[in-house]
Amino acid sequence: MLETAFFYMFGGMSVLSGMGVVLARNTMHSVMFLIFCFFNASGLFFLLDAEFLGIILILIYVGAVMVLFMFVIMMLEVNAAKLREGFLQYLPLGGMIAVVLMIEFIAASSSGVFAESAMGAVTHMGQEVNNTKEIGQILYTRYLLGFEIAAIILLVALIGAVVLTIRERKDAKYQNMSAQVKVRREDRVRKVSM
Amino acid sequence: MANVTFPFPFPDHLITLMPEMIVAIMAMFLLLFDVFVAKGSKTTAYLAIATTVAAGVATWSLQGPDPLVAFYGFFVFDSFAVFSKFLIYVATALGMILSLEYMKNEKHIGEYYVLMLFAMLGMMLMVSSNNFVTMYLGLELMALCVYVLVAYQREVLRANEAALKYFILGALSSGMLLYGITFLYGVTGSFDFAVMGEKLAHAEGDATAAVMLGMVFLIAGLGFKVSMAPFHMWTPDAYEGAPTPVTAFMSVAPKVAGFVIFMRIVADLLPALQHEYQSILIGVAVLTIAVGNLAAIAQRNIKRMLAYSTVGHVGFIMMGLIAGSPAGFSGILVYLSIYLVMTMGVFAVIILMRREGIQGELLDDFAGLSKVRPGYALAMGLFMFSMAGIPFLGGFWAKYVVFMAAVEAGHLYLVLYALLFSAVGAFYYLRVVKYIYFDEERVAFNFIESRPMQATVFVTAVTIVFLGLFPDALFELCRQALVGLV
Amino acid sequence: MQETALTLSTTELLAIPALPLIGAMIAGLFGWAMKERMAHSITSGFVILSALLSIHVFTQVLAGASFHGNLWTWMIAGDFVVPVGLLIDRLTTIMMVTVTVVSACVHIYTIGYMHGDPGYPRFFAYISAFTFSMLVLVMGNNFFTLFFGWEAVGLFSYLLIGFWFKRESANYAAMKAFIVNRVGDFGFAVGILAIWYYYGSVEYKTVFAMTPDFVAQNVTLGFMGWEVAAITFICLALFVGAMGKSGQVPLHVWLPDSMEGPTPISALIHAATMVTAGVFMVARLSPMFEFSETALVVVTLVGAITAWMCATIGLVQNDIKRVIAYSTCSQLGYMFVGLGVSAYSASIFHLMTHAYFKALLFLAAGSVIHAVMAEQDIRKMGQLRKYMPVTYITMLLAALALAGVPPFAGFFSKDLIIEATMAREFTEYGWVGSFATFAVLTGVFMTAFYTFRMFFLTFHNSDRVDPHAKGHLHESPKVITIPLMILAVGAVGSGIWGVTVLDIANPEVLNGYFGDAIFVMDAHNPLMVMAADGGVHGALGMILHAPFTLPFWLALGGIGLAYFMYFKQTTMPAKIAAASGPIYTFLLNKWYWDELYEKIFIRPARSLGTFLWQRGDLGIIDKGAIHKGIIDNIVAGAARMRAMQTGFVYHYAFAMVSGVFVLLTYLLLKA
Repeated sequence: MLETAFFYMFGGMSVLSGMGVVLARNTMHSVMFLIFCFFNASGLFFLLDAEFLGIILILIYVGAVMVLFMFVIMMLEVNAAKLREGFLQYLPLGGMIAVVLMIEFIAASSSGVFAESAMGAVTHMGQEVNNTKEIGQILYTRYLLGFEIAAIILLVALIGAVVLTIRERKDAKYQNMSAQVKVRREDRVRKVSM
Repeated sequence: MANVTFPFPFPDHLITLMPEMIVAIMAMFLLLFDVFVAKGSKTTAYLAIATTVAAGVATWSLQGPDPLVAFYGFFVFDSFAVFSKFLIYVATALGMILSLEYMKNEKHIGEYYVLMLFAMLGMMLMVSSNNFVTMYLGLELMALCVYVLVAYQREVLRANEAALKYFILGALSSGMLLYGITFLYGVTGSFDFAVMGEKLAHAEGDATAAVMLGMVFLIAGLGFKVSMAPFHMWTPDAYEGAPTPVTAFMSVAPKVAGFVIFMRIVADLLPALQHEYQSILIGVAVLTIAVGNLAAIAQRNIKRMLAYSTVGHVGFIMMGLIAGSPAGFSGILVYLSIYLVMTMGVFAVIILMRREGIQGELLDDFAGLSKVRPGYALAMGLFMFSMAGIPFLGGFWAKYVVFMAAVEAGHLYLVLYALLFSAVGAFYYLRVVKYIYFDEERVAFNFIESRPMQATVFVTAVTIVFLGLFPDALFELCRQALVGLV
Repeated sequence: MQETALTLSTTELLAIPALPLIGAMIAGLFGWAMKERMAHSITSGFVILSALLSIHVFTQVLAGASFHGNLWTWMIAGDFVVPVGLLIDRLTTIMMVTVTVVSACVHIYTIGYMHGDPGYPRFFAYISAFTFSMLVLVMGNNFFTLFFGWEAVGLFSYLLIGFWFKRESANYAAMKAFIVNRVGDFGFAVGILAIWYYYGSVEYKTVFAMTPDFVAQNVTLGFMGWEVAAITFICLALFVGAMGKSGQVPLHVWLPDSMEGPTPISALIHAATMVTAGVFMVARLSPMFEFSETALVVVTLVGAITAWMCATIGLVQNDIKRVIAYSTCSQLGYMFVGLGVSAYSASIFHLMTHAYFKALLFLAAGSVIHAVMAEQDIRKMGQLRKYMPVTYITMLLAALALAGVPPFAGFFSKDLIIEATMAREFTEYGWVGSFATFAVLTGVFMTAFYTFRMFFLTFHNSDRVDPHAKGHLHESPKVITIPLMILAVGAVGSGIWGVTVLDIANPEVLNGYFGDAIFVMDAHNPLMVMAADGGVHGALGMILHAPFTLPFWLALGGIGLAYFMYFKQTTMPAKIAAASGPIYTFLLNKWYWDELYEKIFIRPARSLGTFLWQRGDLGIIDKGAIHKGIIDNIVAGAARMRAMQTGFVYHYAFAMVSGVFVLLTYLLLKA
């Protein structure tokens, strides 16, 4: 009973804060709403006894990703009012589509396929089951391939970020190590016959 | 899916993934290696090309009569995957060859080839996947690399813009894809195509709405990658903004991977929903064919024109999916193979057009080519005729096989519609020929010749003619490749 | 491989198309390294050799030989087999001889005509390759070789019309020809597809053999809400292809414009051979067309309209080549009328005689144009007979043949068609028969008139040649006049030869000369009706009988009127033109077909393209957001661009979401 109440609280809050992300006039407020949304999602994980996922979500998303986000947004000057230009103009059609899509989503989700009878009830594993260990075990065995590919994706993200942001400024002086190492006497000293 | 066993049977798995291993290791090695080579050296590029060849050799040596499965069913190596992998190798290798001269003056060119290899790796994983986990991860790996490749010329404004657009919309499409997968997983409780297909066949009446929703989002997400209308809108911008070799690469390889996944899904996951997926694919195909062929007419920039042309071709390829028969599937493979050759050839010629102060991307830049370089002109003419589906060049057979398959499956009207639009399409292909042969030179041609480019043009042109005259072998190969899938 | 009493050598048969192909490849690939002399000797030599071989095969077939067999299999796709094979019978050989002989004459003529043109070897390569394609078209034994030849001749026609690519009008004409033909080809492709769909085979023999059963099964298909017999659908779809290729209304608009090409091309492709492919195709497929009365009625109707309408246009044209071009359209209309009334043999006969005299007319016109420094307006000619006697005489012979004056070639073939038209009665659409009779009869008068109008204005009347060109007036060199003379022999003699040697007109032999190459149902056979009416036998008989028939006097009347107007009362034409104001303008503007197409097809197509471009691309993407975004970005900095960019990605994303929305809603509503 209490659990159900918490579920609806976390769920409702995450929906509301999700709407806040989209509707807030100030970009900073949007980010704050998003952080709040993540906290609620994390709460939902905790309700499922998935404490590892809950903590990871806060650590990585709230602790790292969103902070980075805030830095970027603070450094850029985004005019939110400009972004929202034409909002009303699109509202009737866009709103209509959104409403109908939502009805369809609800119809799909509530069609009974995700009901307990179909999916089986969620069982509490209890304290003796170590969530972190279980995830680690399955990640390094059955889902090893996916795990490795994910690692490569991260590597590519890293390469991409460097490639797209590296700048060689013309006015700055650089030290070219390899050129320094490769240098030979002839390059530097010229014998002049007097 | 097999149970998890200990100790882990490592060697078997790794041998099955030999081509992927080679590519991954070489990509990382080249990343380090590039630091030590002199500026302007093409060693990295050649090593990257050699890697595709090595992957080809590895794939060839692995193939046997029976499909191999590794990593608890997350990876399959069947004849279907082998065929599509070879298409991907060829597309990647040609993309790299086209880049040799074009990207010569870019700084930090080493990472460019590394990213191409990683993109290839992503596609290899995609075509070898029979489940959503491997498929999605492979797809993201490929997409991430392509986003960066599009933006590679950072000082070019339109490249930045194109990449950003592509990235944002790509993220949206990934979201849609995942959302669709979630629903299907919710209904079936599995990620494996075959298992899911089995479950879907026995799904109860309640499940319909959820399954439909999952399927629509799945098709939308994948449709984005292969440029189906209305999910195609990024295509012209990205094609125009990207460096031309990247355009060539991304107009072929991801389409191959995307359609292969589509075929696996249609064959394994959706047989129970044949009626539903056909009806929406028909709608999408009708729109795709019309948009591609009509919008191309108004283009002055040949890369933009080819972008719409790709959309048109995708519409035609979809007819094979709609047919859903072995003939349709082998038709798709035939189409993709021929499309690969034509497209690579066309882009090679476009790259050759780049000269002092001119991008060579406008139709006007081709005016009078026939008088200066009859060879290039002839090749370009052949490609254009082939794309228009004029018999008896490769492109004709490509259209022919998918249309026939669709007719056999009872979609006569759709084929008539497609025939009509392929006649419309002939107009803009022919217009290029008109510029080349019937117009006066407007800007002096001042070619930067390069052997690999010329060789590419020559080989692709000869292949198109050869396939036009003797398509039989290719048909047979594509039929063989389907053994085990359908 | 099935062979009859007399055997034909496969090698010889293959050599006939192969020789021009080899010539084309040599001239095309190595033309740049060749002297003119080398290029024309190789190609012309090969084509002449091919013509001689064709004649040899022709004599063998005349003696009773035939050949049908597959030589090799080109492709197997599942149960779909595409063989490459030959079907050599009396219908084929007559086409082979016509094609190769005219082609050989045109090759020789070209040596003189194109002398000094920068594209000299290329031209020879094209016409040789064209000859090859045309031979494939006629010699094949299945629909696939037919289709191959069909597309290939279209391609070379396109390349040759646009041969002088520096002329804007030539480019335009080439595009027009190609696009109009694509419309026809669409129908043709659909027809072949349907044949494969219903019959499961593309070989003529198999398809023909299956047709009676197929018709008996009463297979129908719903098409656009109509229930149509499948055989009618197939025949009509194929006929749409024939309409495109053979310049029948409403797809005739490209043919007069194709005169932008060099004159030898007009003679070879747009008079003698390619445009008759449609006629050949219908005759070849007579075992199918015979089973669909509807298709035959349509063929007759389209042919009659074309024959009549193009003749009226021809009356007022001033460009010498355009007069002949419209005459070609009109004569093709006659052939289709002949096919429609099941007088296939008469049509093919007319095709052959027409090939000779029309090629001759074109080549003679070319000779004239050559002499007066590329002037094509007949109002700026006159009195040329004094300067070019050979051209004059040969052209006169051709004109007489075209007008249908006995004993010249056109008389026999045209007369047969007219008589057959009068004899044939359609069961359901009787008025079509009456209309066709009216069209072919008035057509005779108009044909005679416009032919001699052109002839008199060119060679007689007053001397209106541009003084500047006057100094150059001379008879053309031998390479030009010799082909004229060879063709003149055909224009004079092919009619008599056809009637006497081939016995084409003999109603007592069921299909005349063609035997089983053409299939006619007894009930349809107008030749049998004519025989029952006490038909006339033999060439001499036909000539003697001519004065008692209407067409003869109509033809003489036409010539007489032309003589009167352009010889005696030379002021009259202008008066008539002024008096008949709107009609004259209407005819001069070719019934406004081009304008009509401009209005209903070209403009909407262009505006649709422009719409998608302006609104879809420029409106939403470029002008609306991106384009403005780029420019403003350069001007006003990155911040603004980012703002704009969000705007346009919004549009893309919106399209995607809408797509999902539509698909999902559709599926859920359906379920």
